[in-house]
Amino acid sequence: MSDPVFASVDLGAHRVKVFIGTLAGDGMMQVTGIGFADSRGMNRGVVIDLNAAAESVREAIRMASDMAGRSVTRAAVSISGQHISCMNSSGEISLGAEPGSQGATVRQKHVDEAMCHARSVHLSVDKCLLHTIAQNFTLDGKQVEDPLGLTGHRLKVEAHLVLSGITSRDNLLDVMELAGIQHSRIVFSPIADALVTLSPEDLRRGIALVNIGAGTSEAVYFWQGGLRHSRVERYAGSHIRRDVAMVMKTTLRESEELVQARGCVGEPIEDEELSVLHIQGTGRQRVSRGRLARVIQARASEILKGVADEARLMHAQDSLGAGLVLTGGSSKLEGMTLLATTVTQMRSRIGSASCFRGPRDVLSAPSCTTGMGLLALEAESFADFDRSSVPMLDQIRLFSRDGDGESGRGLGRMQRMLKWRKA
Amino acid sequence: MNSDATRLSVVDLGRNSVRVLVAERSGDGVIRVLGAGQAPSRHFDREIPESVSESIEIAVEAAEDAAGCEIDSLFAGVSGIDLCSVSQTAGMLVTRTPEDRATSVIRREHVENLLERAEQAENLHIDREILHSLPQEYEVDGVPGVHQPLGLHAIRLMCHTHCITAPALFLKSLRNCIHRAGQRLDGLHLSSLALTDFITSDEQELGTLLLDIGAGSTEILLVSEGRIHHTATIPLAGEAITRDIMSAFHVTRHEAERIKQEFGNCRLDTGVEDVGFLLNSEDGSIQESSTSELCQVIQPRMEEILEHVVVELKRAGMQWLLGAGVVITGGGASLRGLPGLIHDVYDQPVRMLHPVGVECVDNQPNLGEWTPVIGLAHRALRDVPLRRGRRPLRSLHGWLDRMRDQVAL
Repeated sequence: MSDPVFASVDLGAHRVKVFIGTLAGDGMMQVTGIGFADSRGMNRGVVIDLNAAAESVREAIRMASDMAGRSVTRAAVSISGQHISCMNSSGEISLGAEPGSQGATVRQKHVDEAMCHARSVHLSVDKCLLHTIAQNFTLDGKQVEDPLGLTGHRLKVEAHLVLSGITSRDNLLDVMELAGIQHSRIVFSPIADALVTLSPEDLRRGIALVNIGAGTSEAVYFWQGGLRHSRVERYAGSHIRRDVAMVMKTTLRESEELVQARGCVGEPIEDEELSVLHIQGTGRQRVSRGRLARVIQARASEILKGVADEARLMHAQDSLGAGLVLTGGSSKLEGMTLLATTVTQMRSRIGSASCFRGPRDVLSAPSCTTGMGLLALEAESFADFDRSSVPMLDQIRLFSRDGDGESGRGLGRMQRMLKWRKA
Repeated sequence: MNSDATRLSVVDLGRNSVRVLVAERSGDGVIRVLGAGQAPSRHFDREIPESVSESIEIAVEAAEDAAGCEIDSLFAGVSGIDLCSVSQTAGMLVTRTPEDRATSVIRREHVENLLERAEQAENLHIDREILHSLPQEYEVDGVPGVHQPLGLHAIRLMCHTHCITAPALFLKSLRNCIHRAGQRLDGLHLSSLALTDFITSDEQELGTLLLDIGAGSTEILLVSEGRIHHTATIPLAGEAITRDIMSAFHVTRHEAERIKQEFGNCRLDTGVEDVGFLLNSEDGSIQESSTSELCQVIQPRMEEILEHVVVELKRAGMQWLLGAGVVITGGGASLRGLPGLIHDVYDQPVRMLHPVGVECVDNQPNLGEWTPVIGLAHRALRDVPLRRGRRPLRSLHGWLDRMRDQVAL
């Protein structure tokens, strides 16, 4: 039997990123294929054109599989967009021990049962459950780290539920199907980021993570040892690009290149003159880098302020002792950590994934963390996989029964088509 | 004649002249201007006098000679009338029952139904007629910017349409007058709307104001985020300036036109040399004047027109949508110093609109006043047969049919 191959597809508003990995002899993940393609047919993190989006996914997959020398048919997929929402819930079960007895031993089936209780909540018609993530367990009134094997009467679990819009999720899955990829799981992107960029120590002290992508900025907040809050901000990199184009009167492509190459926030150490194409095609104009920085900073501050305000709203600003981690393509901007620290009053750093082998410069980029996290989840269930390389896998446990298709995704595309054809 | 080439003639009825243009699109998609003809016409306001038919006939003959072909039908541009534009939103549920957890896919019926509903929603006054009802974009479950809705899963589908209405009487007399000239009518299209083809997609995305300054009226069109936000007409343009010159200098219309063309400038402080010139007064005497004096007549009127545009945008609450500047076109836009003046008034970059993607065979008119006509030809040829703004759909039909075929297998 050939060694297993894992793949992840991160369908962003700016770029589709595909990673292919295999397990090396010592159980470490080796990233062997990387494919980037400009994404089309996406808006604000959501698919708006099936065929265009599928085409860009196909392109990225082709590139990655050429590099890896292997084809892939199955991949983990990231999801994002403003349709994502969250809630906290709890479930409590009796372990079935005789009253007055010593109690019963907690088995996996009990934990699963408690989780199922926690996730049986009323959802509005347009929502479905994406993740159920345990925050903490209580056995007979005492909080326990890991209840498995302990003895007691009642087991309670507190869990964080991440919900997604049904239609946006189904459209994403249709894109994968059109691109010839079977999805193995869908993961809210900052959760995948958190798996590879945070440490168990961060989690104990409380931390926020924000993925500032192109279409939307997604934030997750951990405190008291668990994931407590998720949120999607409306503004992200594409708004920065648009702002720059409008203020500098330049084309969107030029403003994109300008932000990537010379973009920064705060006062640049050395001001310089930049030559920028005029939008009306009347030659080039000169703008100062300091002006560019001010335009970018206005929007970047707004995004970061949203992240901080949300923490304040949850009364969590004092619980986030480890500060803020920034990931996503737009967090690479020069001076971003300093700005984040000033705006949010939290210690900030750029998150990067260093747990896998592969081309270092690519893998450590903050825009690739989502793909890395997805790979980690893919490999998780393999016995050969060295779990210690991704310690967060034991901390953030995605409930395995999520995405069983209980919200109407049981039928395949063909069957559904036949169904509406008959209707 | 190349069999897969499409040939088409367009007519634009301006306040001072009638312009006819013959253009073709060859099989490889290149649009070429074959010939043009022009004839002076009596100016008109709400109704079109019968004499315009004769002007059309003259212009058609001239264009036939230039292009070397017969013209039997015309595609007419509409401009210079009081337009009304309304942006509206129609919505529907795609999922039949709220209990149905499995979502439904948007089908053609849904979209057609929705567009019909959007058109009906327009509260049409009895004396107005819908000129265009343009689906701008769809919104699927709160996600805007969807142009290809077919096949997407959705619960709620919304459609933003921009509806442009014109006085019914005017459109009726326009149709009649073309029939009287012995031509069939291929279609009616708003002239300034056709010109959006020549605005780059980036400009359309960031927000551009198109000013088509003709003789009788100035047409405003605001495009932003890739969709048309506002259309309006201001009944002041080049003709008003000519009248001002006539009354200020007591000269004939012809003489006023001449000095406007030759010496007209709409900004005093451009550093241009003050040139003196002679002009023939109405009473036959010769008087002396200078560009600065002429400018004192032109500039206030031009500023007034620009002020009206600002007021119109403010009224619509859209003065903030200008991200990429102003694009000007039309006969009145060729006035010297106008870009500078607009830049002063609006503090936005200004450029002249140039027809892109249209080839002119030989010494064809490429002046500002011909741009609207070329724009019409481009638009008409780009989507033959022209449907009323149903473009986003058609590209999808093929996909849908392929899907159906798959099912049939």
